[in-house]
Amino acid sequence: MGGYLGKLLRIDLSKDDIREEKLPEESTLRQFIGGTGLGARILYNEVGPKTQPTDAENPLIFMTGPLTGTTVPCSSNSTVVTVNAEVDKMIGTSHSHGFWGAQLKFAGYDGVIIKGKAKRPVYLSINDGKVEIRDAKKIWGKDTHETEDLVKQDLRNPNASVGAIGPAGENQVFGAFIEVDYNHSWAKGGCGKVMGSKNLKAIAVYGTGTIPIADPATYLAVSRKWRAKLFDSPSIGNSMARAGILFGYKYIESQNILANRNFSTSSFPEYAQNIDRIKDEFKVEPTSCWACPISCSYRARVTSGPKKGFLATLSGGGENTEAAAANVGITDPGWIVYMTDLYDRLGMDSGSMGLSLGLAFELYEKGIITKDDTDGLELTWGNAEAAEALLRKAVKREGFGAVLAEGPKKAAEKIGRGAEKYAVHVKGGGLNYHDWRAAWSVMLGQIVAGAGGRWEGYGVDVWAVEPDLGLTKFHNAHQVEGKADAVRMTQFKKLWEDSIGICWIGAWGCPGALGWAAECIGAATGWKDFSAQEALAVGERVVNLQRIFNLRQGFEPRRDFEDLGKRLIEAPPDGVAKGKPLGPHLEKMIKEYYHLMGWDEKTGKPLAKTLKKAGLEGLK
Amino acid sequence: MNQVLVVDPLKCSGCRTCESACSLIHFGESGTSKSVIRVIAFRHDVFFYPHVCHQCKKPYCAEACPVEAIVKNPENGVVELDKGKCIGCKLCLEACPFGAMAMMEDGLAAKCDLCGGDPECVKFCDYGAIRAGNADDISQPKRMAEAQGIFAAIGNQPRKLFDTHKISTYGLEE
Repeated sequence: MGGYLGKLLRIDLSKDDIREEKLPEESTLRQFIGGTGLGARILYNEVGPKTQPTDAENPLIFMTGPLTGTTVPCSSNSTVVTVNAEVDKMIGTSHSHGFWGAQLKFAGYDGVIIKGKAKRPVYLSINDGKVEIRDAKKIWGKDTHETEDLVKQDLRNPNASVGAIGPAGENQVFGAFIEVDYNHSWAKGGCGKVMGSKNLKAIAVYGTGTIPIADPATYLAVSRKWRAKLFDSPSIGNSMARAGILFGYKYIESQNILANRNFSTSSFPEYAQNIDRIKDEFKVEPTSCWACPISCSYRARVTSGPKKGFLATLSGGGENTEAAAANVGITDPGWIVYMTDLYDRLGMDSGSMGLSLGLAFELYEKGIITKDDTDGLELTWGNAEAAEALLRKAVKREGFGAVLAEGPKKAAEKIGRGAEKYAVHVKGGGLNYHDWRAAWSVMLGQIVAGAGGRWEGYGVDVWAVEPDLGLTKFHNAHQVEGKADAVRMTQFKKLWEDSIGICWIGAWGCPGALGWAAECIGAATGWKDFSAQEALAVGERVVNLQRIFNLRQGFEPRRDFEDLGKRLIEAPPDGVAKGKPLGPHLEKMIKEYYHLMGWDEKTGKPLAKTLKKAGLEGLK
Repeated sequence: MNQVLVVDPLKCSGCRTCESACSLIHFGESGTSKSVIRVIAFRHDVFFYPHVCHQCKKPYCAEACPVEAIVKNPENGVVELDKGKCIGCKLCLEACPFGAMAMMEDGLAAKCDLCGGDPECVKFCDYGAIRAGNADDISQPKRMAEAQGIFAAIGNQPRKLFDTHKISTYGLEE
């Protein structure tokens, strides 16, 4: 069977034990494919209801898909799946790009399961069949980019791909992630915290093998068609191409989705204008992942201002810069890229820890906290030096930083004095950081997402429509009708894409991509009758699997309704969403979503017939 | 017309799709080790060079081959390798000044055959960094670029064609 290598690597860091094992049987693969889906299915068996994220028995599962490392556009995906270390009692899933996933497959493995805790700091080297647990004493404490360089030097292999945690992961702070290939990261699910708890500093992969494909002629023909359509349609790939986000801020500001200053406003023209200055004035070079025709990530060399000369290596979404800079009011273009890069180097998601900082700044501005609380830092909007100092304190859990190191929700509880009102979070964790008060589908999608606030269901309010799902027209951002269904359908598509080995930017809004992805799965594996319908059924199965996993871990469905920053469902004081709070409609929308999902509207649990239809009846 | 692969490293993103396409079309497997096009990456400097066979007029690989397994096709200029004749001696690898020859796991040599005139790597390069063309396709854009630089510098000056020729008056003024 093509597409897969048929092998998993299992590592127990407590016992220095490395062994290979077979992938699950073909029927299971066809049900869950790979990536998020197969990773979640494996995790379900690996842990029990009581497993905590930083327990030795909680695995970090890295999983590719059958399309990873091929000619399919954006086939760079690898997913990490683990018990969520950022959001209580949920699964944690996150995907990343660059070259790591492709290299892992060339090294001969579809995935890696890492359990246990090393007695001292180690890093892992996977080089074709040779797997080593190596000493990381000298690199512990280094930032993610330094770590990548040092590991490559240590292995004398500049072509290895290295995923690494920074000081944030080592200190197990909120939002700690795993950076890879300079520009990319597995950013969600607190995976950096889990990796840090295992004393695992980095994972280097390099391979010289190949991936078998059952029907190469069809595979090549379909992937070419798909690539052509990406640039011959209003797809997201088209608009994100060549560091495209830097060219997109007129749209973002016009839609009032530029998240800034802890959501205290929904407009920030000065920030949007200065993003234009990055593309116009700085030396910007788009960079590419494996098989990517888009190159949304980029390097920016600062050419003027206080950060002149600094080289930032960023990914392409815009959420990272908004959460790192706009959220504390930073507008200097050099500081924008510097702060965003700093989050990457310290090893944490700005869409999580950035919310802690935003909260602190707003509380200071409102006079709820003062210099006495902040160790003397003046947290006024736009004070970039203070933001950097505070971030470094949070990573070290030092002074006031220790208060922020557990995220905005817990920080607000600790601070008290009514701070809870201003904490922005989804179920205690971060979110994909644009202002979704002006795009209710995305907000609903973040709220009902099965792995904590993140891209799962996104609807058709902004950016692009989804013709493959019959969603050919943009929704009014503030209508209630149709939102739950659009969120559900896009969630199926997204989780399917997260399971096959592609970056969803290569398929979002690209007419035909759903069918072509299904065709490529068929051509790769030899499952000739694999259809778009079966593809969406995979997505639906994964949504249900995440749900029953969460319920088994003790997740209480009422948290869908209650456990989120109230800011997110109130109306902003300005912009297109002014006077239009989501709050009053939320219960109805979530219940409609439950209903459409085949979940009990009262208890939020999947009905028996739903699990049966999804082929999950054996799992409880 | 002698066809070659024309590469522009300044357009290459380093995505390596060409390698995957080459490997898939020839071996039905995706990867980089079985590709005869190789992207050489200077990742820190975001500089990438798609390394290809130049289909030399005087192919050292063919000259080094003791069993005449490599022959330059006079019709289309492609330096073709006959796997049936190859004995796996690796002399072609040693002879090629550019490193364009590869060895496969069957122990035999492999090289670019331009996919019979419609190279797969070209079709999969969305950045336009690899094109199929002739020698002039390599040099002409560079000549043009240089000429444009000169034009920008002195193009607005008066032209000097009269300097080298005195207009004839057919002796009428004499």
